[in-house]
Amino acid sequence: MSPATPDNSEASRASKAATLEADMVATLGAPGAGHKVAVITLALVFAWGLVAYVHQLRIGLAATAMSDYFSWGVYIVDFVFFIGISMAGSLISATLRLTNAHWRHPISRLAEAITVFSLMVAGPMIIIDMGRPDRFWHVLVYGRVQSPILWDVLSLSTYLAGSLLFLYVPMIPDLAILRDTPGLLPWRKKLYGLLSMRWKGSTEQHRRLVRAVSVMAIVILPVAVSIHTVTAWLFGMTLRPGWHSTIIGPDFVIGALYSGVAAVITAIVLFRYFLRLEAYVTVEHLRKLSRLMLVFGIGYAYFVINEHVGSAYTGETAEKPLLAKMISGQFAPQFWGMVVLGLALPVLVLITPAGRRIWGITIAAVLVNIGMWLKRYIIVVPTLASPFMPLHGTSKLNYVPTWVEWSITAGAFAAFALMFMLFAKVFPVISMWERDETASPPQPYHAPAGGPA
Amino acid sequence: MRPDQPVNTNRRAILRHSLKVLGAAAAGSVVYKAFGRADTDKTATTGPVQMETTPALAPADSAAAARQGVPGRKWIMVIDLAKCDGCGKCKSACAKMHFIPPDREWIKVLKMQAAELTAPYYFPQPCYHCDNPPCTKVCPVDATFKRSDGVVLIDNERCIGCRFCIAACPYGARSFNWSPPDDPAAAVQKGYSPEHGYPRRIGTVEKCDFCPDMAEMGMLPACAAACPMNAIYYGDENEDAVTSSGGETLRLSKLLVDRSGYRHLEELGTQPRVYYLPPKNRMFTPPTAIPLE
Amino acid sequence: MRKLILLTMALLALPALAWAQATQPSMALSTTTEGGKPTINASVKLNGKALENVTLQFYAVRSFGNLLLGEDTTLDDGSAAVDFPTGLPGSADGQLHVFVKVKSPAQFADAASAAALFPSNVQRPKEEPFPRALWAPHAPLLLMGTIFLLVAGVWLCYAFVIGQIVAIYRGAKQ
Repeated sequence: MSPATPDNSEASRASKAATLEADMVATLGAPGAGHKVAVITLALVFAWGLVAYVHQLRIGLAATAMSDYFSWGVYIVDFVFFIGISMAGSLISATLRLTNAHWRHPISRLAEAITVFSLMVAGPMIIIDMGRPDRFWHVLVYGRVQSPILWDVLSLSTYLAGSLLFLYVPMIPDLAILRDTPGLLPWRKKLYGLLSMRWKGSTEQHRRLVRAVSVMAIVILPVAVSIHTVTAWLFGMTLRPGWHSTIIGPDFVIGALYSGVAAVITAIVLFRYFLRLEAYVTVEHLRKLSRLMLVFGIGYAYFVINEHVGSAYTGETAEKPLLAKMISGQFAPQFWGMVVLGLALPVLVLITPAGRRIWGITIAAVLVNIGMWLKRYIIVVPTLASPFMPLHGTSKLNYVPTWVEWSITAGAFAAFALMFMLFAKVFPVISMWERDETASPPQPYHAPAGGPA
Repeated sequence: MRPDQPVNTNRRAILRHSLKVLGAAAAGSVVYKAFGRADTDKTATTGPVQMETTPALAPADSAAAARQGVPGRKWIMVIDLAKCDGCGKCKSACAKMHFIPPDREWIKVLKMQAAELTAPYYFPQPCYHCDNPPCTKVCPVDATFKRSDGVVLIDNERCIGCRFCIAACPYGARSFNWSPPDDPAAAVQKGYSPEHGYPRRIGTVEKCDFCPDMAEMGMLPACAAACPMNAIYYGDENEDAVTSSGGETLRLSKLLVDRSGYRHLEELGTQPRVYYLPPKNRMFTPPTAIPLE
Repeated sequence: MRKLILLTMALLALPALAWAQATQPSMALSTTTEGGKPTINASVKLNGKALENVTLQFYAVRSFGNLLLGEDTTLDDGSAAVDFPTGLPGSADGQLHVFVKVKSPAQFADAASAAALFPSNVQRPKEEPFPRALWAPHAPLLLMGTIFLLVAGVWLCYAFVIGQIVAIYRGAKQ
């Protein structure tokens, strides 16, 4: 059998499935030393973030660098960033499912997990930014549906619920497999038994499962678009130059697709290496993802150009100082950092031969993540420095985030990573049953012509 | 008078009695004259008695009561830029009345110049209490609200400190309590009401409140009352009249038409309740031109 | 003797009474229509005699001060008039509280009349409850309806999916 023709015989597929199961069970085994070190480090960073937050609770938001002009800062940037990467799941699990892109199978669960965890970090980010977190319940009791914040609360909770369902439902057969796997710890057996919903693999159950997943795939897409749109409308529904833009909704959606794919690539590369999943998540997967990232990157560059070319051409009074601040003024480092790290370099890397190698793709993805964080900063902060009224001396006129803000940001990323590591230790990160499903054509898993990267 | 009194006593009694009456008449006429004469100081124009045309409402003493506007009123302000000389007494009077910390201002006095060839001028800017307020639209918990009498207030028992209203206000009229407040005892002793905005709460928003507690008692807000140039007029749009600190009451509609009143950044559609009269024919030295960006 | 004392007291009292009287011209206000134009008239009398050449200022009482409606000097019949302020809204009771003050001559200066009530020809705006609006406490029905439909639609799909999960669970009993 040549490598080019897939071995689709029944025996071959069955043995491959067995290998996958074995490998997945192996990932759920006792954590190694490296794993423990990583968890402890992340936990320490997260704990430090908590310390910073307690400090902030004691002395108020004066612990940050925010002031009456810079009334929103790094916390809102983090919030928008984490919302931004949450597009990953819907794109890969839902969109690729609806377009019958079967190469998604090994990565769809991880992508969906990214969505869930990024939403779980984004929500608290808002509470951290609030001046009175003790009054959060006011939003539920006294909520006004005219406020974009209410729309965001509704959308985020709806999206989180949907993503949890979308993560859980396709995992049911896998949980059943694990339930029936001998040799697992008792608590695991209990957990899998509980969550597997007495899955037996019968035709009837299978039918229901497929129907449920199909419905979720369709429903989750408009919900995903809505979360990014209403987050954009937090800015778009104000009158400020830079925010009051008609394209801000689509800008956030495309930006989310871009940063979401980059987050998936980053996470996949790490998991692939540390959990030794090279056989299942191949370089071909990464290449396909990187092609998506390239397309979204070019699309996002188009949006960035559109956003700024109007004010540059017209020189409108309110917008001129804002553009100047970004191009050559106070925020030039962040703006050009975003353009170079977030758009120019990743696109360049991806269109060169390095873009076909895993290291090239990884570098591009990491650069995109950094660049997109800077882009969120560019969205939030420079507009606050360019009000309609002349800047007035009583309030601080520049914004340099404090250690509290950086610590909490680091803690948020640490929490995100920790949730992942915990998830990978409790649940199988690669979907086992979908490889074997008879409902869709079998996957060719062959070594790529260029050899492993 | 007892009939068996001697006649001399009777006469004395009559004399005493009459003197009392005469004294009373004289005293009474003096008193009558004093009251009859109107005051000759600046408030002379207030007439014999300030007519209580609306029942004087007690200022709201609770957050819920503060959401009710004074019935039938629509407070409005007109600022005459031809008279403002940038002295800042409006700022200090407001700060004094509301115990405002030095790091923020509820009424700002900005130096403005629209273009290189146009006149620089001083621009007192309180909150405009817009009729289409961008701030109340975005508040998720109804902590900032517009009342029927046109005033936009903030309930700091309700505010969650999300600062969306600060982001939404295009005039930058709002401030935030970033640190634990340090109100003086006089502020703390008075119960909290959105109508005066103190004692402050950490993590909440504050701004100019149009002094509704003063207005419903017929007194001008702190800024208007303190202005030595009579540049700030305040009144009730439903009465079509505004009054300045000098007691000058003008017909609002006529004033805005004759003096070409306008609202700042009208094109934003916020519909402010503060009108400006252009800085024309100033009787004092205007500020020097400011370098434009 | 008694009569003499009484007469003296009466003589002494008279100037006091006359003095009290003389500083207060009485001013009466009324409205008429002269030649198609409504006016406010004031009639100034001192001890029953009409006073001429008294400059009067007409005011309408407002919440924070008094609005000058106009000035006029009395004619030989003691009357002065200004145009009725058409279009000026009344006070809270819907009526215009108008009074006059003497500007000159100096001995009567600052004497003022009591306020007279005249109906304003401007309707006071009706107290309307707040409309449903984006800026008001209560949201527009269209917004509420749209949000409700969208959110309910999605959560109904979730309910369907959960129903499928429950059916999977129950289906295992077979």
